Amino acid sequence: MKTMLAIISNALCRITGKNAGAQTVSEGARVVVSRSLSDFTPQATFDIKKCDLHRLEAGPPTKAELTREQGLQYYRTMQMVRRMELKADQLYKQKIIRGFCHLYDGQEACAAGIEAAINPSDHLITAYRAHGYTYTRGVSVKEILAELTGRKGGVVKGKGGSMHMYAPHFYGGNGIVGAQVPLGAGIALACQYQANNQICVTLYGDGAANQVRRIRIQSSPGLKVQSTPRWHEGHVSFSCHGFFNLLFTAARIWCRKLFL
Amino acid sequence: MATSLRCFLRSGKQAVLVVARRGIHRSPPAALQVTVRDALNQAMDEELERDERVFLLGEEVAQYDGAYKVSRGLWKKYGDKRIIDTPISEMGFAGIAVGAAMAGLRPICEFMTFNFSMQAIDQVINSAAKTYYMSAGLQPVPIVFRGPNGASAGVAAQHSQCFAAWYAHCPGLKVVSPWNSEDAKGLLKSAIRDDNPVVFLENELLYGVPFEMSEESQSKDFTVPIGKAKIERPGTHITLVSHSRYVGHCLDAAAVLAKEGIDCEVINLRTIRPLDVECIESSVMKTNHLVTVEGGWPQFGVGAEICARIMEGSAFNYLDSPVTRVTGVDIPMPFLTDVLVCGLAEFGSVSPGRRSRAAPLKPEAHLDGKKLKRHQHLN
Repeated sequence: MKTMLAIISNALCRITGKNAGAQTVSEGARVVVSRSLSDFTPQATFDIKKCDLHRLEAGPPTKAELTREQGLQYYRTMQMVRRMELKADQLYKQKIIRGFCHLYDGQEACAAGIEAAINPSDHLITAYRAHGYTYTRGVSVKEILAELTGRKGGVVKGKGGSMHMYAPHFYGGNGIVGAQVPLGAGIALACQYQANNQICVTLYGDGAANQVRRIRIQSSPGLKVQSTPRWHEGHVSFSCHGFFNLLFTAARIWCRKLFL
Repeated sequence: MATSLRCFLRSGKQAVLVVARRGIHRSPPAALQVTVRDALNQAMDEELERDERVFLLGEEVAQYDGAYKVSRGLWKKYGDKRIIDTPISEMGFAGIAVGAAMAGLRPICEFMTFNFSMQAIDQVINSAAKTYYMSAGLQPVPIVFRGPNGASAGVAAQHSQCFAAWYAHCPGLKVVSPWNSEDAKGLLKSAIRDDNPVVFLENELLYGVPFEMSEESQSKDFTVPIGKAKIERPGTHITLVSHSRYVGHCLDAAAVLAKEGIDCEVINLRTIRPLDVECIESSVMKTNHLVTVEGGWPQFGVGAEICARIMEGSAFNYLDSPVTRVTGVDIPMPFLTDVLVCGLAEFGSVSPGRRSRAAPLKPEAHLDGKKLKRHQHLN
């Protein structure tokens, strides 16, 4: 019955050119028919949870706007990372990838969101779970998979492997838990030193939070993002809400205003 | 005080040079007596001035003028941006220095002593030394780690370790160990200009020791190439190879032995990694006897590496007796103040039927708080 109604609704829409949307076909049925291609807005607004602030006067905005083009672009990025990581998983199980292979499927939203909020001229450093960031920082899937399989066409000619991939303004890929945090602070110090209006995003996990001692270097413009992965490999869905939170938690505008 | 003295001496030197150029009175140019501390200070000052990207960070380097006053005056001249006091966390600030180097700056990271570098050794090795290779050349790390290394006076076991062998073990690092002021200044300038991570091992007991610095070494562009040893005293009977403070001991021993008619050739390694094996080999081919002298522990040390390299190379056939290593005793450094130990080392051995030259030699090595142990191989 529902399918019938959907088909009729779509056909009618095509004829009349109207948005069928959430119109019910009949009062009695109270059915929301499935959406068709013509039924979407060019942009959407999302509410963002207010962040706790520490030594800041203003926080990030509490509303975010996403256009259709952006949404599709982010979705494509995330799908690419997902598929790449699933393939890497398969290759690892086939022993075509040896050694370590820390996969990023399920966390693509972090990488996509952060990259959306920063410029290519900004800097990013992370730990060993780096394939997603390697992609968002501009390295092709081919180079990443070649690196994972130890080929000279890899991003670092097969000398780094899964954990040590580098790109312009992307500093890996670091094997030792927590080591990347002071490195990221140093990169941020360099940004401040050179007064080039760039920031450095440093990522670490909840494990590294144990390892790392806080260094308080005054006015160091670094953004530290702690990801607390609640999903492990193989989990299919990701949270859109979480995605947009991350997207605008890393919002460039308030970062710049704060630190520089 | 030191700065004004230096200025005074420099102006005196200028006057002499002017006179000499006029041909009125030909006398050799004035060589200055400069302490190792001042030479290091000059090197850093000149490199900070030359390149905007160079900066210094470490504990007490700024407002305190340096824990050993090596960076005296630099904070006043260059300010907070370029001379940075750090909290007491080697792991943290070494990582920050390496990160800054990755992002395009040229930091000098000072460890108060290299014993504390053990806290940060992960950053030195895994983040600095290995990165250029792991990134297939995409990511250079132009950083200098410097500080006093090895035994001091009465600082006991946890503050007296020599890290030459530890760092020289690792590919990706350059390791230098200067002896006199010229070495210190020239090598530090080369290290700062080098695009690789360089571990610069100073010696606290040498900081206050003045050495003569040639006129050439007083130039702002004077550098000593990394990877080249220097023959401090040419000789014909036996080769003594050493680095850092113990070069002085070797020269003293050579002076004593010269009176007995034994002519020692003393080589100052200057660089531990890459080791200048050619210099040692050509010397051994000339003298046929080799002794290595170092302050570090014997096992897997600098002397051990020299022995292995000589054995593997062409100079092995020229040896008339096995190589002798003179090293620190294989114990954690005891706390001994005001103890002068005369180490008696017997070099080489005479075996009948061989035309080898070395009779038992007895140099006196005066060392504060340190015993020397001889490793003798009897034929």
